[in-house]
Amino acid sequence: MTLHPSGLETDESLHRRIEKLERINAALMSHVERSMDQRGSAYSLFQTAIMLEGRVRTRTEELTGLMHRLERSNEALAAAKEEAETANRSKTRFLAAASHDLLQPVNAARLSISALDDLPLPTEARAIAGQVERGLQTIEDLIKTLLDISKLDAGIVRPQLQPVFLPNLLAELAESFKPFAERKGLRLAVRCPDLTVTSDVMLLQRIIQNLVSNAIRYTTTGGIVLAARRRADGIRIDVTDTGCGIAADERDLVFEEFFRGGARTGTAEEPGLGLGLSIVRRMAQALNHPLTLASRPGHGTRVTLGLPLSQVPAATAPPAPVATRLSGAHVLVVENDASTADAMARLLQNWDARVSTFRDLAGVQTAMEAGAVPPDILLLDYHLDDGACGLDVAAYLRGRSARPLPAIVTTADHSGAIEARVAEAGAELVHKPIKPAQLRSLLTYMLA
Amino acid sequence: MAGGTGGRRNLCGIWTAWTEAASASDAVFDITRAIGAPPLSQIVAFFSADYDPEVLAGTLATQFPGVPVAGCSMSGGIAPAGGLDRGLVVIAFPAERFRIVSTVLDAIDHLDVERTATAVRALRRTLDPIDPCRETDAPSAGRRFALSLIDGLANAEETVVSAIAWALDGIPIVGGSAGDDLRFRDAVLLHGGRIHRKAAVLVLVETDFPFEIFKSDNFEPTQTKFVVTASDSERRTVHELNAEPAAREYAMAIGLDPEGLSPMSFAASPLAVKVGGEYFCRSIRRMNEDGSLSFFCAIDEGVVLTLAEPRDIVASTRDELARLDTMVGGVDLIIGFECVLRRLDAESRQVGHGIADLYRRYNVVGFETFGEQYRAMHLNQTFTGIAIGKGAPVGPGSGDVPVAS
Repeated sequence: MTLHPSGLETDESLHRRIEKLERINAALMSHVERSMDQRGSAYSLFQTAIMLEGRVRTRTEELTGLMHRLERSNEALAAAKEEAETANRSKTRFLAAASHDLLQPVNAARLSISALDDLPLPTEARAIAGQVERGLQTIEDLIKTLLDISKLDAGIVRPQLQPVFLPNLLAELAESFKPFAERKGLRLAVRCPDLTVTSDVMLLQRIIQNLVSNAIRYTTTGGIVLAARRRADGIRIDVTDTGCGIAADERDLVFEEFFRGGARTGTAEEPGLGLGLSIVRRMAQALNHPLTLASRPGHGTRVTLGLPLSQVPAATAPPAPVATRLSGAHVLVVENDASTADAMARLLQNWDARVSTFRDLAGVQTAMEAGAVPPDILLLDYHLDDGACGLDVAAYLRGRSARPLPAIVTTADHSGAIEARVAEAGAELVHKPIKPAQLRSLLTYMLA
Repeated sequence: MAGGTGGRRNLCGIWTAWTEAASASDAVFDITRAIGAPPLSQIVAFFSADYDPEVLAGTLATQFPGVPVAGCSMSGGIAPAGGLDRGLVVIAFPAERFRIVSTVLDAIDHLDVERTATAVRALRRTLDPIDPCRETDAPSAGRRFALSLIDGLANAEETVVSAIAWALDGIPIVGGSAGDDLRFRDAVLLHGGRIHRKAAVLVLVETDFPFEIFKSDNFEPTQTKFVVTASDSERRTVHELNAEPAAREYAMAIGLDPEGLSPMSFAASPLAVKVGGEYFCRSIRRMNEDGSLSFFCAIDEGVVLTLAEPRDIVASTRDELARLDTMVGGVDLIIGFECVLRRLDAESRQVGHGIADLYRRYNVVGFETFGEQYRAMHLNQTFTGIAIGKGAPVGPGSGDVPVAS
């Protein structure tokens, strides 16, 4: 029982005091450890250095973490994009396949209808056949347009920008529409100074084609003016008609699929598909050409397309030919009869196709081995000289290339055996005498 | 122990050489024989405190005429052949692909931070391209590093390395504190052919070889803590821990008599401070006769010191060196600064050969220090340094790098 000098504290209270001191001490220790000396002593320099180092490290870790997160989200985005693109591609593939499958029976029907031409038919029947033919034509155009729209949507059509000399393009387009305009008693005028724009010639052509065709369709009196003008911010092409006009509440709708103007033209003219302006809008978007519309119902409509002026002088821009699917296609003809081959070549050249004619397989082989350009389509006579068969040429050329090579076999022999062999070779059979319209539509179809 | 004299030409062109010769002049002759006379941009030398530094400086100047020399006294050398108790370790940078400048900072015990920073910035600018129209920082970014050698007995490393790091503005810096074995009397610096005391030497290197600085330690804290209750910050001396005479309190905590305290016990039972959630060793330099403890680093009243114990030094060193090997695409050589207490501890635990094996494998050259510098920090009981890779040079225009004269 020791007594504190004060004589009051017991052993127990001393223990309590020690305990308290220890706790205070511990609290102090942790406080000191947390606090940072600000006095600028050597020790605080040391501490500051460590703290700075720690902060740099923390920031680095934060940034690294952020970077990883960004990388991950980039990966996720890339995957999502890939998925979307895949979906889009498969949609396009489906549409392409469906269009192809749909075109086939339509085409067959059109061939059958054209066969009616050769038969002695009463006028009434002939008129009905004509209507059926036009109906089929419309279906075919519709399917092809749908295919085009899906290609534009899927981004498969990529504009190839180049200088386009406008006067030639517009004049040619007007020329091709002149018969339609004249039939309706409409004027079709072109006003275009020597201007060169930067655009994709094929897409631009189709935009204006559609706009002009639309203008003619919805105009009964007056006419259509196709005019290009230079403006401060580029070039504008106006397609102005004196047609029925578009009501204000319909102006946004005209660019939608399958929208057709409420005001009928009243003639027996075939109705529009309702796809023209929708495809125009897509193509203009793809080209980044602004498209605007102004209209007064009952007075007319003006559609304006804005284009950038080309920096390249007009002289260097070649005039562009009006393209069809057959134009520019390379057709390889094998025909042992010289006069038939000659006639065929002339016919195909009239359709702007490139033609090479051969007498037999040996000739084709020689040309190919000499480096001739492979054809896009074959037109083969079944019976060649010395018992050779035109299908051998198809087999030879298909063996040289990975891509499918469509072939049309012509023959005067109507036997089922040949029909079977041709079908087996995956080729189309056309019986002689060949009807040019039938051949053209078949060629166009097979090249599509 | 290392065998006499050795030398090695590394893939990056740096020569390293070492000797255990008895005298300074013999040592320099050994080194000359090992290296020959290639075109050099800089020599960095670490030497025993018992060599006559004047003789060493003079002989180096005559043997390597025109080559700048920077160096300091040490407490033992590190060479690929093993640790050197005494001798000379030389790192000779080739003129090709190593542009090097250096400066000496005097009177570091009364350092003017502003003036020091200005001097270091001026040094940095001498490495910049002459044409001011060229982008200044971009080409050199990531291609420069600095080596610091600081008198370990001037009690000033924190201030010096802070000032240098500030002026270097992001250029990585590593270095060591010059010592004198374990006599604690006289450390010397060598620069410009002259001997400097209370000084620091800064060597700034630009190269297109890959490199990476590092620091490695091998201790973990225990539950035992001390509060510094009386100290002399100027002299880095702690008089009281937990309101008891410092040496006695420390000795009791590690279960020794105060009379039994030696560098070996300081090495085996280091003290650490916690800063920013991490522990840093504050090594005890010596026990003083008045029962106080002197440190290798800044210390202050109110600081909480935690008793620490070393972990497996071989494993931690091996991990760090392996990491560096990956970072630089194969280590060519390492210039290392290792706390002398680390070596003492490794030797007392009989794992010195394990460390020696690692140093041989990664071609470590350097010296045993009284403290290590890493970026703006002055540390104790660590192994810091720089690894230079043998991989392809980094950055563009690798083939035609300007070389120093």
